Amino acid sequence: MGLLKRAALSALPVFFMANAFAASAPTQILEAAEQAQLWQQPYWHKLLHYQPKGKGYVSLAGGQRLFVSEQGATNPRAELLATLNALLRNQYLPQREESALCAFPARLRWFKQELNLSDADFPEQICEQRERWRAELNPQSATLVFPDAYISSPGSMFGHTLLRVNGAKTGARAGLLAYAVNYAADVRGVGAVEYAVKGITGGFPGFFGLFPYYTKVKEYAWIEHRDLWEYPLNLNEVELTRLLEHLWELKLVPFRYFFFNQNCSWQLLALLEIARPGANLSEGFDWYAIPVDTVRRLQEQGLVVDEPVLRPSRQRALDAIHQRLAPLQKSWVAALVKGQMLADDPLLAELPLAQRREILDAAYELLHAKFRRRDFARDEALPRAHRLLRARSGLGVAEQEPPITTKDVTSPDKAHESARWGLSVGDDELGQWLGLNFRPAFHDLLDPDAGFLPGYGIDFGRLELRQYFSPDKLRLESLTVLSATSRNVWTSWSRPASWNLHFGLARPAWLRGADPDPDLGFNIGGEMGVAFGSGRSHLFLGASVDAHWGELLEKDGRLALGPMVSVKSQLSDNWSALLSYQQHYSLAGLKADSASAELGMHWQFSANQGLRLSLEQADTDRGPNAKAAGLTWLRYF
Amino acid sequence: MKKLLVTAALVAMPFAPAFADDDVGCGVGSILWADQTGQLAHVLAATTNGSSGNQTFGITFGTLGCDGTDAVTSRQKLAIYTDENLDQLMVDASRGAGESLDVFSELYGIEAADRAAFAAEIQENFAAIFPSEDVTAEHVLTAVDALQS
Repeated sequence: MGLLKRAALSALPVFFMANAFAASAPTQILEAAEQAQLWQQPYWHKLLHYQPKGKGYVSLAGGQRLFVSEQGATNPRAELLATLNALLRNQYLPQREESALCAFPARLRWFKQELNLSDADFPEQICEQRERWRAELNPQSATLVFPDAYISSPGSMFGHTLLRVNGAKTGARAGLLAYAVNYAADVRGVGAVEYAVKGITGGFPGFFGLFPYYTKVKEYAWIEHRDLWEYPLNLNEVELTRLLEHLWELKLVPFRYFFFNQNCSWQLLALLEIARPGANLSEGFDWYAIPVDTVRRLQEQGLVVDEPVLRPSRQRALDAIHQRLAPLQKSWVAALVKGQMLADDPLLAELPLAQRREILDAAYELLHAKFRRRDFARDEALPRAHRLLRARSGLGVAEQEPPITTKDVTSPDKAHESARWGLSVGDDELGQWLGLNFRPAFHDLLDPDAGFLPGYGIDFGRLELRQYFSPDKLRLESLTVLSATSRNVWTSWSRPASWNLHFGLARPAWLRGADPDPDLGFNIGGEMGVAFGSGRSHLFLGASVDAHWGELLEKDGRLALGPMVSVKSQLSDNWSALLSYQQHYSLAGLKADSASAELGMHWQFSANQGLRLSLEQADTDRGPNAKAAGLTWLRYF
Repeated sequence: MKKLLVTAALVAMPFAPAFADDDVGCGVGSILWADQTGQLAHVLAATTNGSSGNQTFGITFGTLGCDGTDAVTSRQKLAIYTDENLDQLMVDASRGAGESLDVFSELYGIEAADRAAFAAEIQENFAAIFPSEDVTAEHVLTAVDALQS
């Protein structure tokens, strides 16, 4: 039956042209649509998620669920005529398991507007399931939610966005009981290599999903310890209606998920373009869509006007208590977590009530965090946690802490812009040079850290070109594909690791004493160690490994390992400094040990411009010391 | 209680997509501090541009609880909410305050003006409502009902 219907459907445009005399109302409406060439309207392309391809179009949606015509994926005209016809006759669509009027409400609304139609032009149809769905959602307003980066996971270092549909103006339905619209890839049961390859090439199916918001808060703020920034969207009633109607159309429609460009954040922009026709949201993200940039786009286009509300991660609450407690009390928290002290210990009973509450609250949170990190097994941790809470329940209600706002923490949209380029002058063993650098994304340890997690860095595609004057030589100095850094300071409560991983093309600066013009090689390296201090100013101690493939004097590379020490300081909001020293002992390849010291100073003299000084000295046992200095003007955009 | 939850799940069946949540949702009797997947899997599950969620992936399209587009009673909603928020509810109950407990009291039908008193009552009776670490949503609701009657 399905087959028969489909065959009839695809023959429809031809059928109607041949029967133009019949002049029933539906045929006249179809003719009007044809004459107006409605399929060329940008809004139609948005409804079907068409992208230009060659001379035609192709929809980003896979499968047949979003289409009425069999050629719908590539033929805007056929799809338009088939949809309009199906709506006018309210055909049952087997691929949707519902009738056309129930399946495609956003298209129906648009046809009515473009062709001046009313309900009387369509068969009567009550869409019970959809109406119940809508009634449960009860959209009153919408919020864009930005879960900030998750520092332990390089995969989420750019953050994420989702949309929240609020079922009331205030209260639970504007919070935990609201619904989250999330676009995500189905990546379950996949290994690392497959994950990376498929993620970049669009090998995963992506779906829009709908969840109670509390499941997302639980996942991000309570388990992953990520801040959630909630940006109110100023959508009016009809815009919200369009949004929900199109969301219904997208039910279970598979898209190809591309991590870099057609990702969670970009797809939400495409959805919001349906809500507000004419807003330019999804264009210009051809290569990559960084979540925070999509927030900025919504601000530019007037969909986000108000300040965001911060829903802090549980880590923030824990950090605040950590700062308030005295060292001895901190050690009691640690003892409670380990089970070396019990909640009814007389030492605790002597304290003021407010401090006892904080100590027990902190102990529970810390124990939970450590369980999540697998420091404790469930069998051991959960009974202990339960005893802590039981003791806490006897201590009454604490005074409420004032909420953390954008006055206390810079929101991510106020951070420096994601892309950066710059011009530099410098001098090294080869001579003086003029340099040009570019980095599409995102943040390094010297960039001003307002709006970022302290101690966090992720550089993507950083490129540096140099023109030397004498000798006259143009050099690609480096191309860093990725450099990810996570420096987490030790506290009396937790001892996280700090690390860096980087790879790309580079010239071995340490060799410049022996060879002033070293060849470009493939370089991969990393650091692992511990950090002390605070996120903004800390000392890092660790080891670093450096593997280089490329001509190095008489050999084709070197693998080296050695100690490293580094001090980072965010001296003020505008000034930061990074001083590092590392030694490398050759393990394989070129027999050459090396040591290098680097100083970087950064001054951010306006919101999106900075000056950076770098000084470097490198020694190797294969030649004299090499010195280099550079001054760079940086522009963030 | 379980029966109620199972009913809610069954009602939702026709709309449940092939990818249902593995360990969250549908009120099938969550436990406190459910073990998560390993750290590596966790890291991988977070996508380059945002997490697709280690445990909350699902292309659910339904509303509260499961994928049911069928109406759910307020009592079922309360049951599902309690089941899915057991961890945080227990924490809030111990402190006698918090957003999860607020929402619980709203779903329980407590007027805004009475919620602080309700929260204090929950805190006072913590030991009865959350007697052990094996507590279930079913027990929590029964115990709260007993307090209210």
